[in-house]
Amino acid sequence: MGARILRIELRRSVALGAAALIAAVGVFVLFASNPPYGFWMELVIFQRDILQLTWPLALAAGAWQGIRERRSRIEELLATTPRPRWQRVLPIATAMAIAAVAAYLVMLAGAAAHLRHLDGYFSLGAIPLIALGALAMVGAIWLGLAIGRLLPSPLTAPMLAVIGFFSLAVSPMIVAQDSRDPGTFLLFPYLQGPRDGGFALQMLSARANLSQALWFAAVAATGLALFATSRPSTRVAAVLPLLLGAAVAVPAMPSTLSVAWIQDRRATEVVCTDDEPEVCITRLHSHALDQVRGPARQALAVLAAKLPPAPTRVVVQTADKGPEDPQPRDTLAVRISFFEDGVEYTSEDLLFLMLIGAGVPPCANLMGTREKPETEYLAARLVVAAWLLDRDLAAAQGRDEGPEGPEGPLAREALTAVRGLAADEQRARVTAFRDAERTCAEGDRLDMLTGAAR
Amino acid sequence: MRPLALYLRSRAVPATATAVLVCAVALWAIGLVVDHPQSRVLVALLAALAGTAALGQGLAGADHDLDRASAIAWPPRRAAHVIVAGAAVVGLLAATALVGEQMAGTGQIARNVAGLAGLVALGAAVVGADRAPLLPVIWTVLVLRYAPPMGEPPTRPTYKVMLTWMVQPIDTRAATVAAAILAVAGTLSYAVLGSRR
Repeated sequence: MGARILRIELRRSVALGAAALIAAVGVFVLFASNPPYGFWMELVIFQRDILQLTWPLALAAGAWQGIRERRSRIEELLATTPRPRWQRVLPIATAMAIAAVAAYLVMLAGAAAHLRHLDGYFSLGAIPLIALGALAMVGAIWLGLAIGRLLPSPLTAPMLAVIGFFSLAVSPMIVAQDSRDPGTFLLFPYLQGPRDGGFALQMLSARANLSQALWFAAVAATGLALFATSRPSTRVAAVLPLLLGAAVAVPAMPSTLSVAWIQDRRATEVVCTDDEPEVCITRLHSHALDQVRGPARQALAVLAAKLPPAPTRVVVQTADKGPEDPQPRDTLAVRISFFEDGVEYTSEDLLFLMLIGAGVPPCANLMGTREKPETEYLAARLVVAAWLLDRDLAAAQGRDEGPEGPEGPLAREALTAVRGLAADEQRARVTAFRDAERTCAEGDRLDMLTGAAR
Repeated sequence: MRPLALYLRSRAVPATATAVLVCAVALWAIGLVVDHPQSRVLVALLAALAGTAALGQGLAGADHDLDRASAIAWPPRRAAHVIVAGAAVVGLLAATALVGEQMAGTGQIARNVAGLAGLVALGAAVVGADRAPLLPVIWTVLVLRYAPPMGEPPTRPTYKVMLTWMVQPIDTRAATVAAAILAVAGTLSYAVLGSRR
């Protein structure tokens, strides 16, 4: 009986149409306002952020459905039936809740096509974010049902939509924001990512999620109760969940939003290949393991052939983390910042990037600053890579370091000079260069490679 | 006079007028607290959206068949209804400038109301009067999210400027053209077709 009525309500109400419309609007906005997302977490957080738009739409859809009886002029007819109101309206409320959840999930599924790596790391912290987004949508649609029922006017739905946008999308722009957003911002259905960026490496703390869940559930409960009750006295009681939810959730919320965002430790752990020689990468970037495996092993082979003793293991570090502790000598530590920019690198490019500076990470004390890099030092590192690969410097590309930069001409010149030396001398100098790099000793690296014979 | 009064009542004009008046008062009240010029333009846009959305319910009578069967030349009357209603919304929203600092230029309010009212009229002809606000509301939502900073000269290709006409500065020709097209197309289609049942 119940299932049959639910099916009928799903077909005969605005539920499916509203779900399709909201999902379509959401997918459009998720596609149009950002370049492809690098990680799942970015998409999940951004979908929560655009609740600024989808939440008022769900509210309006609920209100539209809530005035159905008035629109069809059967209010009085239905009021004469002996069946209690809550029994009669439960199927439609369920149908609308299904629509809200479906809209949210379909939106996520549709926008997943805008991910760069569909098989990328899916953080466990994303699951509560998605669930709470869907819960917020249910709350919006039930609250809309209640408001439509209490104010049954054709103006209700469009006005609710506009008021909703105003309060969610415009008012945060008006209220001057500083970096210390109070934790009570979690009362809003939308959620903005951590201020310091790094979306992919953070997640919301359990405390923030739980207090938010409690609040959203309270909003939904009040909406449903207001919609389902028929007597004014019970309507007053229906506001109780809202008050209770606020009373519990607000003190439980963290003091500021930035405290609510915590590090996702699983994302920064390294995962390695099963077979030897080991190639490791942070779990966040594990989708790139297949891409780097080949070049990494090639790099080890090149180092073993030309510059023994060579490392036996590769750790690909990414730019998300600060300077690392020096790695043990048997580990080739490669710092790569290029996973973020969406450029497709060939295996050749990767191999070259891994061998810059003989596979030793650059020394912070020698690199200079980003504005004023030490060109000679960077050129020396390029020369070593080209020497190891027996390659000219025009072929490879890189973003931060490479032959295209200002150090390119310098490096080409130096490479010719190095190749003019005797083979044994070449190896001795590059080995000395690597030892100096490992200890980050001061000194002119370019001179070490090309200077007059010692 | 009596037929006019009856017509206005049958088209829920008192309720609509009240709603538009509330929008104007809200616009004025928000103008007292909001200082940032971009936010002021945005609030003015939302007020225009709310005011025009309120027009939707008046675009159909209580009984579709009765309207059709009566020997009344509807098309000029329908066109007049949309035009007068739009003008009234512009007048009320712009009048807020008389009692306080203006939120947005009268030209910008007029352009936005004209385009949005055209959309509402188009919506009435296409999806019915009671769902007519859906069109302007959805369009504005889609634009709001990644609108350029308000008041900056447009740098995008023309078609994008036309698609985001409601958030462009007033001296943008493409945006004005887009609003004018919507106003004319909406008014014409509603005048000819009337509200879908």
